[in-house]
Amino acid sequence: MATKELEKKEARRDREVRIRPRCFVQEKPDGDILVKLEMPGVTKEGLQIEVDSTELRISGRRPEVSAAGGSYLVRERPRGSFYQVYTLDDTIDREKIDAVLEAGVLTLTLHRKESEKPRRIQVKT
Amino acid sequence: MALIRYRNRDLEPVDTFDWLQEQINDLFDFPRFPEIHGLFDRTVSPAIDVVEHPDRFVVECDLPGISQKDIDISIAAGVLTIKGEKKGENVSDEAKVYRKETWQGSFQRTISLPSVVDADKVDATYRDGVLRIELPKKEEAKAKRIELKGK
Repeated sequence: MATKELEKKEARRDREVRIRPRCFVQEKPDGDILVKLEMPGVTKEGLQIEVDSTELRISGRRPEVSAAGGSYLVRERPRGSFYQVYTLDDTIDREKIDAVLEAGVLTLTLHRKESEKPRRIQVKT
Repeated sequence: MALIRYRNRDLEPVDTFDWLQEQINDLFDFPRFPEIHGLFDRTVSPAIDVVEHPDRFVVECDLPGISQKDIDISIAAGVLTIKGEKKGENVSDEAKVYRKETWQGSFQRTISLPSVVDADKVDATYRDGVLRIELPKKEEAKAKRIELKGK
């Protein structure tokens, strides 16, 4: 019973899964959207960001864990690559998306199109 | 009415409980929640991997978005402690937060080490949000090959 349980657990861990990164999404006062995604272990080379007319796709591959020649004593970190898709609406400027990867956190800044930015209208007297 | 054998294998009550337990366990192992396995929330105790190599142990820990100076690693009496604090996001009052899955606050993880670890030669690096600690084994604990002498 106990060994069966363990084997199952191992099989589940070996399976490569698509991990949805933890996110933090906020809209700044000027209308820009800030997206932070936690992708520990992902390097600049393994990161892929694609944008088309409707979607923003982010995938981050992390290097294979260096368990070669050794054996796991504790294994809690999920295997697989990070993947997340966001749907973009027309107010986002596709040409102006900034991406910064630092300490395993990807920060995306999605700028609003200039025409869509909130603006204050001055009342003339 | 169909006759059912007294100890029908398909109706073994113990198996039914096994099945039920598996179902419940699977429920908690739901892998689509990022970095959460089972009932343990990975926010206060970050996920670690410990790999044993013939000459060393390697501990890897997922700590995204933490500055290096906020991580505190210590070894005392054969117990490795990874401690630290994760700073939160700076959100101005006017910003609208749509979704927040990230966490802030302090975390701690302790691992008791086998006595073969040489505590003086421990090496730690933090890269791309992953903390990696190398714990070499003591010289006398490393496997030695014994040659057979023929006559």
